Amino acid sequence: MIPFEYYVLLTLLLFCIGLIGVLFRRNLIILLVSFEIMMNALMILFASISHYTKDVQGYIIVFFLIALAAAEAGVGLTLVVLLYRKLRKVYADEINYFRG
Amino acid sequence: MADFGLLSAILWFPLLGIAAIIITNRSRPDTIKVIALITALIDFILSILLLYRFDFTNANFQFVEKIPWLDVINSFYFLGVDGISVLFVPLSTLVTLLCILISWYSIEEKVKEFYLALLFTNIAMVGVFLSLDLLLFYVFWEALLIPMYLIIGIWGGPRRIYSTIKFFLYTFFGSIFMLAAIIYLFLQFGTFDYTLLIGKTFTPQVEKLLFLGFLLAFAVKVPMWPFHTWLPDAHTEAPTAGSVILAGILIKLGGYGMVRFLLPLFPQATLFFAKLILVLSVIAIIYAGLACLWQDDLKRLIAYSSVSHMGFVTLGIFSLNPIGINGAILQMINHGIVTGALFMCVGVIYDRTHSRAINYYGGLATTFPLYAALFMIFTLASIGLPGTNGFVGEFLILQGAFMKDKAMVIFAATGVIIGAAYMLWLYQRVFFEKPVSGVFNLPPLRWNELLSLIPMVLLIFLIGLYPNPFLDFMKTSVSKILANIP
Amino acid sequence: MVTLSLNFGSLALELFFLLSGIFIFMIDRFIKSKSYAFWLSFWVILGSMVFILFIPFGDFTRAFRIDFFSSSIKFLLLIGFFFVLLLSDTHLNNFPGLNFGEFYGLLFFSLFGIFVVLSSQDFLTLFIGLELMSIPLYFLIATQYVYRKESLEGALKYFIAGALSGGLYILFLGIVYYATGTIYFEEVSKRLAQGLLKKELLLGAVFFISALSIKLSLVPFHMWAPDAYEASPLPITAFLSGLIKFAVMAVLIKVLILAYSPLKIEIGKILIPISLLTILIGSLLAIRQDNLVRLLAYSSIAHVGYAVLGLVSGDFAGYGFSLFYMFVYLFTTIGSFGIMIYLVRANRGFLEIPNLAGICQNLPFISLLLLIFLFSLAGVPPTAGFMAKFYIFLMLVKSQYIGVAILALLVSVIGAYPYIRVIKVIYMDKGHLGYYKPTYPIFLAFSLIVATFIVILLGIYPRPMLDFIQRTLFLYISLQFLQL
Repeated sequence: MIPFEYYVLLTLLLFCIGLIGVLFRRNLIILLVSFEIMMNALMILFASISHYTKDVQGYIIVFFLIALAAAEAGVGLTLVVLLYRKLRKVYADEINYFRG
Repeated sequence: MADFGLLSAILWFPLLGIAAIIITNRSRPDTIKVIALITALIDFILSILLLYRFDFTNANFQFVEKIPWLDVINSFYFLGVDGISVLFVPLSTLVTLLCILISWYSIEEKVKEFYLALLFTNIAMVGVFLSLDLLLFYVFWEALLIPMYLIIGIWGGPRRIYSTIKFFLYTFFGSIFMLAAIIYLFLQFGTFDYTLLIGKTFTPQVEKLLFLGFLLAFAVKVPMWPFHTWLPDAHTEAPTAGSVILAGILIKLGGYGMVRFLLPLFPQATLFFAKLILVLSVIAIIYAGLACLWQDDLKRLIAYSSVSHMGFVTLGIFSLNPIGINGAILQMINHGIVTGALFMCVGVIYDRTHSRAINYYGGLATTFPLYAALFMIFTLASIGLPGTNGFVGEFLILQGAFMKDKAMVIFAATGVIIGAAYMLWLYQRVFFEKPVSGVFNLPPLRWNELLSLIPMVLLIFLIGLYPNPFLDFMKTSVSKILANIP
Repeated sequence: MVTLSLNFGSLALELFFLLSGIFIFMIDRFIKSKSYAFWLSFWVILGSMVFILFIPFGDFTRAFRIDFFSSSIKFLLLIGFFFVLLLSDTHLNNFPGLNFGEFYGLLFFSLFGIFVVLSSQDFLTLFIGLELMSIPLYFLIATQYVYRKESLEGALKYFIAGALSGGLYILFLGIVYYATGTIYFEEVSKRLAQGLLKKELLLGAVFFISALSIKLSLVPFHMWAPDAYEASPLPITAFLSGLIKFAVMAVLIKVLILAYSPLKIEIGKILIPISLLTILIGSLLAIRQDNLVRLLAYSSIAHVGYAVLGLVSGDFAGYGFSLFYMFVYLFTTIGSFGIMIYLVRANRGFLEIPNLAGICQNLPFISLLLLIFLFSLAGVPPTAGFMAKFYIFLMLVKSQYIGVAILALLVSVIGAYPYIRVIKVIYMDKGHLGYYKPTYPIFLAFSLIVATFIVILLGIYPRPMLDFIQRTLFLYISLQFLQL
């Protein structure tokens, strides 16, 4: 059986990958993907906790999170697509109308 | 009590005028002026009634009104007058009245806002003198900033914006520390009530810090020597009415606050810091007096002379004996009258020529004789010639200070001589020397100008020749305040 | 075993909003009239203001609870929301090309989210509420993209901030669930009261505060605020900076009382540097701004900083003062943004501060109102802004944070400068921009007058309002202690 700590490590690793992606990648699509990685990392955490403690709450949280992640991804993609159609830009540092 | 509500009436009556002005159409400026004048007049009459009803043998607070205001923090709507504040109330309403008169023709744009601001100023000034609840006091104290900021900034001279922002930030900065001290007092004793706070004791460290917190607010307002730089700018750039209010009432608030709060609440710290403040006062007297000799701007000169005169006031207050404090309070009233009148006089010629430069004028004594005579009276009163009110105040202050510290008096007395020098030199330059730009032919004094200057002349001689009734008002309360100081 | 009560009565108001929103979206395509959605939402909100008084207190499962605190805050929010609706109507009439139905529908969804947040009893419901609240806002900010392409940028920035907030929040949720095996406020509080798991939960609290501080735009998560504010339509800006922040502050206080009450002192210590930096940065950056909306965005950052100062002592009275601060700020926001909507009707250029020069000549009434609101923001008596600040400082000194109080007081002097500058421009500079004088729409005039009235009334006599807010908290707290 795989020890629980491995799951926690996996979670942290994936979360950090996601966070680094959010903070340092410039392409908006990659940004959205990084958010998804962060969310999924935490879903793994909830599922594994549930699995090891035999508590059902974690699984329920995972379902809610999947729905919310889907909603956020939908909104994000809508905005990015709209932005691309109107301004023809997908790189975060090109979008700089507002300053200061 | 038969007189219950008189103080509230004086305080809030201008609200009626404000409401009436708000609903008046701005295309009828004359109606607005008349409404403002009548409001101020009635308010003044009410405050004279207060003087008449006031019992000056009683050292306690009179006409007290106490209604719960903010229950959660035990704060009251608490008004009352004693001998220290009672004279300032009619002075404030009188100054407002005369300001309305003197700006009758000189304010032409945004008339509605101007008179609204003046009446609002009146409420805030009277509120500061009447409130005995520290929080209420602070609210009025700060509320006064709003109309003054606008009056200087909107209707002032060319550099008005710099001056008004400087004025606002300086005074706001000063009073923030007073707020901190007030909050601390409240948390120590659970009350904002001034009468309950008297006689409380602190550890010396805390008392000194609280004293400094209050002192900073008052010192900026007075203004004492290192904090005075906002005053010449604000005075110079303010419109005539603004200068008169600043000189007449606003800077008195600092002195009033010192007598009212610093001495009774923090007696030990007062003794500790008295020497320092006396030194600062003497520096203010001499420094500002010398600075007057340098000025080439009429208003700026009078502004610096107020710094010097207020130096006398703080000198009197911190000589910590009845004579000095009586003198200081009387001198505050005198200074309000005299300097207010001088600013009005400058306003009179400024309206006609639009110049404040001393060099620009000359020979006015022949072309403008009535004006010259009035100006002479104010000049002499400002110098402190016997027979005018300035003499009584300065004499009492110097006598009081002499009992406290003889060396100081010697320096302060030089201040009197410097004062005579710059005022007389100013008079000579403006009224006797040949004008640079030909002979002036100024239109004669208008009715509103005469009406606003003549009461000042009467008051100067009244206080100068017969000061006893005025001193009677404050005597008992002053000795009560000094009772705490060892 | 806890029995679950499915009490739909307590959920009625939320369902009502959800259904109204869905209804608007369903019929929007078939109705040509532009104004039906406004009137529908107008009556729905008026109705629910009455309705909320009759909602019974109780649970819907263990996740959702109507109690006195949540009902009172909801009522205050409904009042604020009502004014946002009135402002929206006035504002949208300037942009006939937009789809009005969607606008009000999305507002309803967002309000639904706020209500869920306020009633939640566990951290998952709270998170779902936060997301429900934020997702419609991403669209609402971008509503105007037909007229201003740049508004998409603001929406995207808010989206990125919101998604980051979501990520941090789930991390917090993971920590709490990992440490305690439960997500209910009460259970967490019980574990803490037994002295267990303090370190883990404190670590969680750091992430929780980070997640909420993105919504509250506290430093260091304040970057999105000015851009999103400038991008969004003005009523939405008022919604963002007034209602959302009020609700999030209320829920932060709720969590501090219900779940984290044994750790509140430590959390207060974490909040001190955050709030002081927030005030400082908000005040300093506001000085350079030339755009009125950006100025108010930075001022909103600073003001939330002051409100958070009420939480640092961990004293319940301080929580009440924070809520009072946010309430005052809500109405100041409504007033100032209402004025901006009016100014935009006259000339779009009025949002730039230099263009405001001399408008007091032609628009004396509006200038006077703006003067009152700006002095309230600066915290000068006799306006409500002073009273709100005063109570916060009182609280700080009372709980021996004298150094913090003095620092905040000093910064508040800097913070007064930007407002003073705007007043200077309006009243003391010479005007040059041409404009016509628009009429005062009845709804705008109404909301402006009410906001002014409240700002002055609370400045002179804040007692009843404060009493009310303190009472909600105290009843709430005593209720909690009974349960434990």
